[in-house]
Amino acid sequence: MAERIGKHIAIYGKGGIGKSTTTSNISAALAEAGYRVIQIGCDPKSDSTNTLRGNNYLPTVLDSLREGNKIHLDDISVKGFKGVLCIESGGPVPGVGCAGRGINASVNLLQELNLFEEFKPDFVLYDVLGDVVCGGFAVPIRDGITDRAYVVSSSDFMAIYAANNLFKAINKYAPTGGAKLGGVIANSITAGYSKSIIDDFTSKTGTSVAGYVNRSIVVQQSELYGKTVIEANPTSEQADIYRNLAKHIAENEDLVVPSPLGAGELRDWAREWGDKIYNLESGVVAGAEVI
Amino acid sequence: MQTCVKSPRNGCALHGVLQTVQAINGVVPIVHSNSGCAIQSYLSNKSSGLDNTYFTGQNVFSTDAQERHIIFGGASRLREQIKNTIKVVNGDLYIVLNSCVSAMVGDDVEAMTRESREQGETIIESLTAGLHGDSHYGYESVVTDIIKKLPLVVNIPEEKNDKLVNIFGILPKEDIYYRGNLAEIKRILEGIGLSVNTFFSYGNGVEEFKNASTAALSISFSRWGNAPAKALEELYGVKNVEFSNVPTGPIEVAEFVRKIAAELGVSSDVVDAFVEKEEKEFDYYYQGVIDDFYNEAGSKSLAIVADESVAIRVGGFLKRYIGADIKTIIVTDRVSKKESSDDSENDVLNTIANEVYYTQDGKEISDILSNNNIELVLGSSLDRNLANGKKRTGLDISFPAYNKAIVNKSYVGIRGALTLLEDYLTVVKEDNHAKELELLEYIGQNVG
Ligand SMILES: Nc1ncnc2c1ncn2[C@@H]1O[C@H](COP(=O)(O)OP(=O)(O)OP(=O)(O)O)[C@@H](O)[C@H]1O
Ligand code: SF4
Ligand SMILES: [Mg+2]
Repeated sequence: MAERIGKHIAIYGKGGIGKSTTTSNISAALAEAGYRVIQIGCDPKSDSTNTLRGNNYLPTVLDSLREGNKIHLDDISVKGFKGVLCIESGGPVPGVGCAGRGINASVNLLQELNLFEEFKPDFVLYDVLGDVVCGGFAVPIRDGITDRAYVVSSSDFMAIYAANNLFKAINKYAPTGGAKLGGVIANSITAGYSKSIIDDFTSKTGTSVAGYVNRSIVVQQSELYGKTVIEANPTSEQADIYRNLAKHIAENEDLVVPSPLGAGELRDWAREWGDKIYNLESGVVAGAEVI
Repeated sequence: MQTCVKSPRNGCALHGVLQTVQAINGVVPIVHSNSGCAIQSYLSNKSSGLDNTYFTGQNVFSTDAQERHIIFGGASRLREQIKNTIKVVNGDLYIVLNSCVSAMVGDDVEAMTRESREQGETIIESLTAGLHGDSHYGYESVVTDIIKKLPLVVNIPEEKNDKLVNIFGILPKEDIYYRGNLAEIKRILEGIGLSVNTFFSYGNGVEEFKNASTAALSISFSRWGNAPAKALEELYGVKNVEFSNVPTGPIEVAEFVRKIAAELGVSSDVVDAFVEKEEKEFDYYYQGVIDDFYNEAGSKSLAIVADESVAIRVGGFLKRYIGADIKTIIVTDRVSKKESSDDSENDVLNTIANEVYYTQDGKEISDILSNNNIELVLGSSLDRNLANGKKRTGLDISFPAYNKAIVNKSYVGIRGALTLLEDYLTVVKEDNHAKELELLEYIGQNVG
């Protein structure tokens, strides 16, 4: 691939974990700080950039591919909050076709359209759907399209399981020029043990936490207004959390190849935590010290 | 373990499916694939002088799926192609064929054919995709599919015909002389008063498939015929008998017709009269060339490279009738079926040749042939090509056979066996003559 223009960052994580919310707030914070930002939603739902562009209609890249017409960048992109360029890859309706191939095709198409040469971004964020289930979903971290990936995870086991799967994919592709891991974005942190669980997982896998994002009503409220937290509640504490996260991501050059846990290891690790939490909830005092 | 096969001779399962249905009169194939799958099959058959049925080459209907049909699913493109095909050509049976991309993406091909059937069209599907196996498997699976799915679109007759037999296991184009071979087997069976469904002939193939259920017996001439024969047995109780190869030579033909006659209660008078007549015919011509064999062909060491059933019949015949010295047999169609290596076919092969190998790898085959001091190769054109551009002497009995026109030649039964003798002897004589010339030239240059 030709010289990359800007930093290309892929954001992964289990379905519904907060990828789009977090990515959009990072984009908004970066744009607010004066950077040129592109956010590309790599998800057939095509809802990644909703809060950046006030839920306005935006035709997806693949919609135009389906129609078979000649495609112009203007048709498939729109400028949102503070000039963030919003693009949605789109994809097939659920249950037919091949969404993985769709991501591949739309990323190729954007390159053919000279998107990066034209827009000259400082940052490009790829918001990639759900789990890495097949080769197609690994496209953004393969072939040198991005050089860094972040994974959004809560302390729920299935979210960590998905993060661990992404680590496996990075581990596989990094040696041949694929992306490395920037860190884990700990989302929906509530009081108690959730932070400790994520900390423990990152230390076991040789990775680190890029930032902790509280579970907050402000996020949901802003979403209802069709806006990011940065735009709707710029003075809130939550907005600062996203700004700090964005700053960290902008500056962080400490990229690693993670050491994912094996299936058995992950199970044992989860069980240990299960015991600790059980003891904690049932009032065994020692549990708190363990944590 | 990963292996790399050099110059494989077998196409993918879709190619097997396609070349099989192309050989059935009345069938219109519709290939749901990306561009290239169907033409690939055409090109390989064309170079073998084999491809000229009605819906071949540029005339194959295909969805030519593009990237957008993969991303969004290709079912509606297929629906469109089905409609258009039915609009422009009349067929007795339309068959939608599947390919790797469609299978991987999981297009609901069946829903499209069902929809078309509900509109009254005579259409079925075979979901066998290229990635399911090789071309032999393609034959097996599409013929089985046709038998199983035909009741969805036509009324299957109920009455039985106790003189009708079905023939399976002679694969269109894989057996390069399939047309002539089927015709000769048909002639033989008709000789004892039977009627025959060969399915691949100038008759109405679809009609024959329809009537297959009414037959008294299915005869399978190779392992690839067993699955369709069993399907008929399960669905309609048509008994089946399996042979490892097609009878070639008078002794084999006599044994074969006696066995079939016993199954179907054909009177022994009829059989005896037929066998006697055939033996006389064979002997008459055989006597005409037998001296030539002793003089010219006695000590040639030869190798056979062919599908299992072809190797058994050609090798068995040459060994029995002219005492050929068969050093090596290389079986090329046992790559996708993992049978144990000690079944009865292996025993038979071991009685014919000193050594038996199983591979379709061009390099491996070439090495085996070079290492065994083979003078004559009976195989495909690939096996006769030498690295230096020269050709090994031999005879085309396997796919692919380049630079050859094949009309209705047969190498089985009685008449086909005589043709095989004739062609074999011709090759031997030409080879001997060429060697004589070389020798004379050498003497001319070096002596006196
Ligand atoms: N820190 C948070 N606090 C409160 N709510 C949150 C937080 N993060 C995300 N959410 C809410 O969770 C829901 C899912 O978030 P989002 O759509 O960003 O997830 P996603 O990972 O992109 O999902 P998908 O995999 O379906 O694309 C949203 O309604 C969002 O408002
Ligand atoms: S192997 Fe698959 S892709 Fe290749 S020709 Fe056969 S069906 Fe087509
Ligand atoms: Mg999302």
